[in-house]
Amino acid sequence: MYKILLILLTVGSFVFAMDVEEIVQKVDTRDDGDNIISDMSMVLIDKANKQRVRTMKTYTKDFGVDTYKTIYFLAPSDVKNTAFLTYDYDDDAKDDDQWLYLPALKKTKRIASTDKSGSFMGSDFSYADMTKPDLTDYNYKIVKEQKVGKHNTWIIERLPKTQAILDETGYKKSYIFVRQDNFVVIRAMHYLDDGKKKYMNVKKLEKIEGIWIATEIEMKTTKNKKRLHTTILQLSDIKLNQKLNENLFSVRQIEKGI
Amino acid sequence: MRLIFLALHVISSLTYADKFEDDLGGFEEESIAIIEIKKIKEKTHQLKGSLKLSSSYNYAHNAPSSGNTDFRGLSRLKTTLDLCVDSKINDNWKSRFEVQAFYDAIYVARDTTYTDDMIDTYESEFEIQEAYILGSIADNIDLKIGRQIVVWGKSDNIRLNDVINPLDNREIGMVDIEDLRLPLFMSKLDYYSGVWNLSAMVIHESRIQKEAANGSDYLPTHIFLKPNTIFPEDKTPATSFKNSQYALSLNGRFSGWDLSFYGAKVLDTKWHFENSKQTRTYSPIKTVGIATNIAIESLLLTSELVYTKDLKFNTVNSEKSRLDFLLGAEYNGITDFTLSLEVAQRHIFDYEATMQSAPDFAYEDESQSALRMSYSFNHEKGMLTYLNTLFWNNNNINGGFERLWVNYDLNDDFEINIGLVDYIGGDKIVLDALSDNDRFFADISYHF
Repeated sequence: MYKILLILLTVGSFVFAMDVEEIVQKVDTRDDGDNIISDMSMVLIDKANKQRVRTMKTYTKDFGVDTYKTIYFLAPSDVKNTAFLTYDYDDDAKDDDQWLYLPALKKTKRIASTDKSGSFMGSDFSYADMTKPDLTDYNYKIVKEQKVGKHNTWIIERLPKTQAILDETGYKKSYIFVRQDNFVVIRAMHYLDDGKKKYMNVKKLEKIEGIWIATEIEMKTTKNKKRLHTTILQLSDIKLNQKLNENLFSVRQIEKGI
Repeated sequence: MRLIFLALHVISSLTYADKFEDDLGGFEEESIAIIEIKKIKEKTHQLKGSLKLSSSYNYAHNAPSSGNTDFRGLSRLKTTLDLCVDSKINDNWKSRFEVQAFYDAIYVARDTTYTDDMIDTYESEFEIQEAYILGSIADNIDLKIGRQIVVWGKSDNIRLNDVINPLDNREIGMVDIEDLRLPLFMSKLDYYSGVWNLSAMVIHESRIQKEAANGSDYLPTHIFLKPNTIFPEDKTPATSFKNSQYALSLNGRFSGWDLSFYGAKVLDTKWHFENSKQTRTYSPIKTVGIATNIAIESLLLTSELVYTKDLKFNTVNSEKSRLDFLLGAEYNGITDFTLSLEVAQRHIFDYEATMQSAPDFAYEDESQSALRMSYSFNHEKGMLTYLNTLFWNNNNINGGFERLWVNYDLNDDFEINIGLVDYIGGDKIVLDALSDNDRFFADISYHF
């Protein structure tokens, strides 16, 4: 009997391993839009429920396999006109180029950091959360299938292949919930080294011009089951397939502002 | 044996599954009432500004001799208002008009004597800050005319190539870097081609540094000048076509590194006597320089080189040249933590020993270092920063200061800033004279 159990466990794992590659490939290659303009707001909520709001305007364009992004900060007042420009290269061997325009200093500063585990603008999202992970950096395993709301999902365990990837993102293990009908990641649970966990939950998913876009995402940081901090990220006025000139993604433009 | 193995495997899987299911409980909804997010509308004119109340407390001064100013205790009760209007003229042109005013009540609140120069310099001020129009006159050419700030160089803490704007040196060690540079009226043309940008400037306004008041705690001339020495007024060269200044830079931005070349004819930041020592003034100097930075993973390496000629001194007749070189590194590899170190070396050519005496206090070779450590905490509500700046030569410390402060956002509109400055004495008498100028400071700002 136990031999049969062992065989079932082994065969079951093998079948999942085959499927998971296809699933994550479909997640990765899913059309997530190009030439995008959107308004972004983040509500930062501390454990005492005190809230702060960050408002931004973002421009995103794919240049072949690379993605260029500009973020202009609109509020609060003390960070207004600050702008962040990123060239996110698909090639792992090439570090991303990042520049930050600081209006108070009247200076554009190059940012050198491969550490993406830091907080994005004080939120619960890290810089790693704001970019697409490289498929080849992780090992995947389907853990189970589960219904989230009305939708069936695969829960996939994601483990970094190397210590360097772990250090870069800060996540030693993640579970991602992939919707079976459209391959959108609608939930994720990340385990951090310091015993903290982060819960990403897509609260609103909209189909805009035929493309599924998460327009409200909650990221919650917990420790010992207690909520430490939460961020609600909302996207609005999303415009896809805009005519975005290459000059929009330049230091010249972030210094001039929008 | 196999049965035990299987049992352990099953138990461990079940425990793991229980833990996993338990962790999934974290997705459970929690009702938090989210504040309403105001939609930011694009307006033709946008007003922004800040109101800041700042104070400082000097804790290291000795009691003054009779008739001199008592610098001990509370030394600042200042209110600063900054107003800025950004206007969008059309899709192509925009403008800015910014004014700043301050009033320091300490000069009426304290029962001590202040010199007229101190009152004039520190009690109140109203100034036009940046005031310009900016737009594109062709696809790849931008024009910016008006009072503006242009920052040159790659280093953050030590200025080598950053020679365009004069500085506010009234309170050395206390002025925030964003308030340090004084805007100048100029016409600036930028041409862009691929990764390159050529920038040409004609500076129409002759503006000099704001220096500390004679006899103040930031320029205690009674310590390093002979008694009854007359400290003449400084005179700003006339703003005229003949006195126009010029600057040119070529900047390249590449994947992983940046490179800039600079050349300028601008007013020196250092004064010299004229008119038989009846006045002090500032003459033009010429500079050429180069700066680069290279990003290697989480390390940003910086280097600058600048050659300056036509430097005038008071203790010698001939003009001198100087070569400045800087190396710097900034590390961002630790989450929420930034560490940077910059070291600069300056060498004066054809140096004469007499230049070391008053009022030049110039060394043939002098080094400067700046160490900065910043730690961001509580979801970037707070930032703790330590800055140490030192001047030295021949293994002797000439002076400097260190500053530790914490900046904390109380909410989206209010922030506080608390810290202390420790002035470090040394062999350079003008810096050593500041060594008992240590103080605590505290500010609260409202941004709107």
